Amino acid sequence: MAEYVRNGVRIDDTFAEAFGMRATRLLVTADHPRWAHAAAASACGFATSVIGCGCEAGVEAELDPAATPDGRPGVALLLFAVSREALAEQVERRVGQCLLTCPTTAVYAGIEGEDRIPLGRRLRYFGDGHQRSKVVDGRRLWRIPVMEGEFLIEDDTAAVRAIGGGNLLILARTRESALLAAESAVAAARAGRGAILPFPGGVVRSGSKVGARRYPKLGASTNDAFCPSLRGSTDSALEPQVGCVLELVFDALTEADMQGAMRAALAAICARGGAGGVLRVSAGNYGGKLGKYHFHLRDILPEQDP
Amino acid sequence: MALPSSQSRGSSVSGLILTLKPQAPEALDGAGLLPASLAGLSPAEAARRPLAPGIELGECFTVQADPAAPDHRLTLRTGARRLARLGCAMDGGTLRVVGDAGDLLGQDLRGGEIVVEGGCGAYAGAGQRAGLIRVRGDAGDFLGGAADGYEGMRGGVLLVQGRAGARAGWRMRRGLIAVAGGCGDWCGAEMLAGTLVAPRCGARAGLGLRRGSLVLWECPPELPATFNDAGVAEFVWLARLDRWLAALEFRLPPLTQRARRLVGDQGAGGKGEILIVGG
Repeated sequence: MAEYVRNGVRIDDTFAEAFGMRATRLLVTADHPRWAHAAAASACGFATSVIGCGCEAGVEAELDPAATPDGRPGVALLLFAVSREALAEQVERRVGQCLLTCPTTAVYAGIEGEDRIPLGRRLRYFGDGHQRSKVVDGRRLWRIPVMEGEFLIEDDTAAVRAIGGGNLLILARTRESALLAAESAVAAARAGRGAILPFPGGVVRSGSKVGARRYPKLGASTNDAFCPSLRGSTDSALEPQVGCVLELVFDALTEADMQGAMRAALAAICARGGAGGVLRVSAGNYGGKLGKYHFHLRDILPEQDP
Repeated sequence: MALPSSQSRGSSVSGLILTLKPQAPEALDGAGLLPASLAGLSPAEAARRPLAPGIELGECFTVQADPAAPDHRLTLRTGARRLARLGCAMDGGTLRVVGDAGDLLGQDLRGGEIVVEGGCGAYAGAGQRAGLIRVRGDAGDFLGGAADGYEGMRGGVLLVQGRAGARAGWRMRRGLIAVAGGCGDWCGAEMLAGTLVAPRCGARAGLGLRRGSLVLWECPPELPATFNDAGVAEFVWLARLDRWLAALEFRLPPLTQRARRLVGDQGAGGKGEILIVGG
């Protein structure tokens, strides 16, 4: 495969293949940042992949009190699903089980759009007839009485078109060097807005291929071409020096957000340089046959800055 | 309301200033004085517009161009409260009243903004559906309340920097009324829904209240016996309301989340509330 070099890191001249998704942004506020984070951790738990979790979710940003609808500290969450219906179902479940239940929280729609999905519209029935509606600044809010006081939630939120499945593969000499590169890349990508990295710490170690050779019923199985320990027993894509491969997976609201997050991550990896133990960066794709969006690494971060 | 075609427009595309002449009739129906109906007209053209049957606008007002103002802004210099129904059914633009407005200010308002630098008479915002009314001075009785043939306020925002008279929010159905100087007796009486905010109000507040919220800083002096005390709790929506009022640049003491909740009127379904901020 053709490649180019940046600061001693070889970058495959390939592309990450990404897919259309539906997404929403929720603003979660609380009396104290620790409760906003507790709510976020719960709501975004078990949300690494739509394959097994129903949605992919993560904290987009921490919000200053001045930037929230009620002047309290908060966080912005992004949730992605394969369809509008799946997104609506996941939003209802996660808000009902993880945000309604968390002390002091309130939930607001954090994104504009014409396609609306329920947020508090059905959850309000938890109030058993004691719920009250308030229209504040043109937005309908539901006040649901709870033992702690009231849970405040906006009536609906927007489901917008978004992109999931952007990715980068970090091929490093050792596990330690791969982890350090991945951690710096995740930190850089998470500094921006409009994108999340939904896996633990933003990193995936178990990249997959479509289907399986030995088990026909499996939809996905280990990406043996990138498993260092299978070199010699499979058609490996790894050179002998590679001791560890980690993957970063990105979901973003727009193509620009995806490019921004991938660029920040790739730049952070390259900033560590070849001397930092990173040998090569690649990206996963299916030959361009499945995903609508192709993010070419050379376009995201060229060999040299223009 | 459709704007005049470009062919009929005068050379001026600025706003207009209308100054009430001393010899004008004592009471005038100002319902036709809308930014949209006069937009794009020169002062001379505007002066020839009918104000009432047989009366041209120029007979009662001196008309001047307001080059600093945009086309959709109309300024009225009124003096005393002689102009009733100002901004009636207005659906856009800005109407600025320098002086006082009469009764039924912003009746059936559907959009746009009305700013009254002075006070206004009774029934301001009667039937208001949307839009924003700001009154810098005092307002009369029945603020946002139901007038003959009109329901109470049905949407939008009504802000009074001074005091309001009796029966503010009477039979109001939706929207927000905020009165910085406090309201008179019977505040929120027979209110159907919506929100009324004031530091204090007179006696018998909320009598017949069905579902709305009265947000006060001081407990009313005489509360109907048909309200139950639910005690003190935290209400996040008050913080949200506080942010909205701040965004509207409306001056009130800070709204804390903590408030005492009085539930009633039990004689009218008991789904309304009076929240006493700070408990």
